[in-house]
Amino acid sequence: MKIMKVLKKYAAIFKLEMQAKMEYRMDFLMSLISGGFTVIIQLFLWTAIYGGQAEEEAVLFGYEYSQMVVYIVMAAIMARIVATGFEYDIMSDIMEGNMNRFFVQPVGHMSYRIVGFLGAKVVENLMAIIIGSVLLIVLVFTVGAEFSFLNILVALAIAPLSLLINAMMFYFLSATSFWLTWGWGVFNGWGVVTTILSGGIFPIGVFGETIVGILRFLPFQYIIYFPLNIVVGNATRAQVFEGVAMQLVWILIFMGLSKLYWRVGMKKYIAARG
Amino acid sequence: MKEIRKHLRVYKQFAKICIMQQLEYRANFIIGIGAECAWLATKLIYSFIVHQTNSTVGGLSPDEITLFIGTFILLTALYTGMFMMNFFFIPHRVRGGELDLMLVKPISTQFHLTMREVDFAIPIPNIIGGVITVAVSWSRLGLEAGFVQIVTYICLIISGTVLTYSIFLIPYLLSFWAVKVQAVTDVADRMWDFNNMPMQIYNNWLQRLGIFLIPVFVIANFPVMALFENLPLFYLLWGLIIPVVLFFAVKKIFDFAVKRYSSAGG
Repeated sequence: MKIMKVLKKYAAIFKLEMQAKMEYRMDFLMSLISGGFTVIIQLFLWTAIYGGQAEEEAVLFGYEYSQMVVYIVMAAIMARIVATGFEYDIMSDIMEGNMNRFFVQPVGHMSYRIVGFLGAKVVENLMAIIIGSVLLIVLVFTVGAEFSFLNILVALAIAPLSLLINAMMFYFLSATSFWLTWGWGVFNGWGVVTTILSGGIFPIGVFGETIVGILRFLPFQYIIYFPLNIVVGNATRAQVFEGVAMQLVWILIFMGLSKLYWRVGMKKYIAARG
Repeated sequence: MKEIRKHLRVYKQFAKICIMQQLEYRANFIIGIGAECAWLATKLIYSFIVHQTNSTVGGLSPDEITLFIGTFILLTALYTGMFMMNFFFIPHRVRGGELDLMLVKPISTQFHLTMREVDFAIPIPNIIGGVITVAVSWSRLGLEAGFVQIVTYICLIISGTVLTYSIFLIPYLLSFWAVKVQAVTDVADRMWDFNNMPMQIYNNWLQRLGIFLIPVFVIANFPVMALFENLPLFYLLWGLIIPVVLFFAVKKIFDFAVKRYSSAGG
């Protein structure tokens, strides 16, 4: 009975956030368009680079031309799928003293934020998946991209884990607002670093073997690079299992770290303006 | 001339106030520099890739491409330091009625609204990164640009800055008519990144679009093309004239927009 009550509570949060986000469908579409500009630059760049290679079917950083095109187009979509944004709300909650309500409401802050975030992402991500599917079909006919249906299903199945790593990482980071009056720079800078190291702009193979070796043990590549490598068919079965295990490990690590960091941060909370 | 001198004096005061405000929150200032370093890295990755693949793109060698990227980074420093924050604040100032106070000040309202904020944190990494990138690629290329090329380069950087102001201000002026303009301004802002690579990588119609219709390619491409003595006379004239034309066009749009201002939020 108690479990049912808890589930009902979180289902309500999930639904509320989902409905709230549905009002901003156009904003999301426009953000996809502006993100598309980066893709256009890269499409021209890689077309020129591959076109200038001596061999006809050159392989650069482990990717053939069609695979590279699929990667950069899908990376832009995936970057939108995993994007957070609640860290700025948390910053304003801490700054404005709005955290007070969580002291009296029968809901934990972390579960409230993460469940609400997942609810807010439902509509956006469904749109992203539809647009991504259409683009994949277009790429089959334009650049001769080849896919395995199974790989796409596996990538879709692990995408929620990618989303959770990113969400937990930014939830952990958002506690920095207890110390900084204006955490915008931290979130913005970390967001860019995450995009680069997760393969959100270029496949991480471009950084060389040493960096790739280091990144294997960090959370970043499991956010974008790992699922996309499955889509383009560059991941073996063993790598898929290892990747999923690493995703689960990093989600648990960030959950633990968040609990600790938030506990310390809450001691600094003075409910200014609250 | 007297008016220009007065505005320059006011601008100096704006800059002074801004640096004092920004240094009051030192941690934020340093974090701002750190965040911009990350953005700088995203620009330099493109140079890294063309060097890694040793690619000749659009007839340009990796070092030549890097010179374009360095110039783009320098122009980013000017854009972010002088205009960006001002533009971001326009919708808020128009909606919130803050513009009221600006209208009664004895200086140009356009100048006040679009030049009030001077950011010192964001340009620092871009100036350092831009100068180093330009200097390294310049020396690797063994460029012996003469006095005329260097003067043309600097003139085109200045005209590129004026052009940046005009092109990227226009979308923000829509806030005089619409309540929410973020979607449009976001798309316009992303157009800035088209200069991250030389325009030679794009196809002909996109190049023409970026030179004549929305002249973003003129901003960072023309100065470097002048250095390489690769800028046709017509393009040179276009690069010097279009910023002036657009500047006056924007002034007209601004005056027209201000007439519509109802101070609803004031």
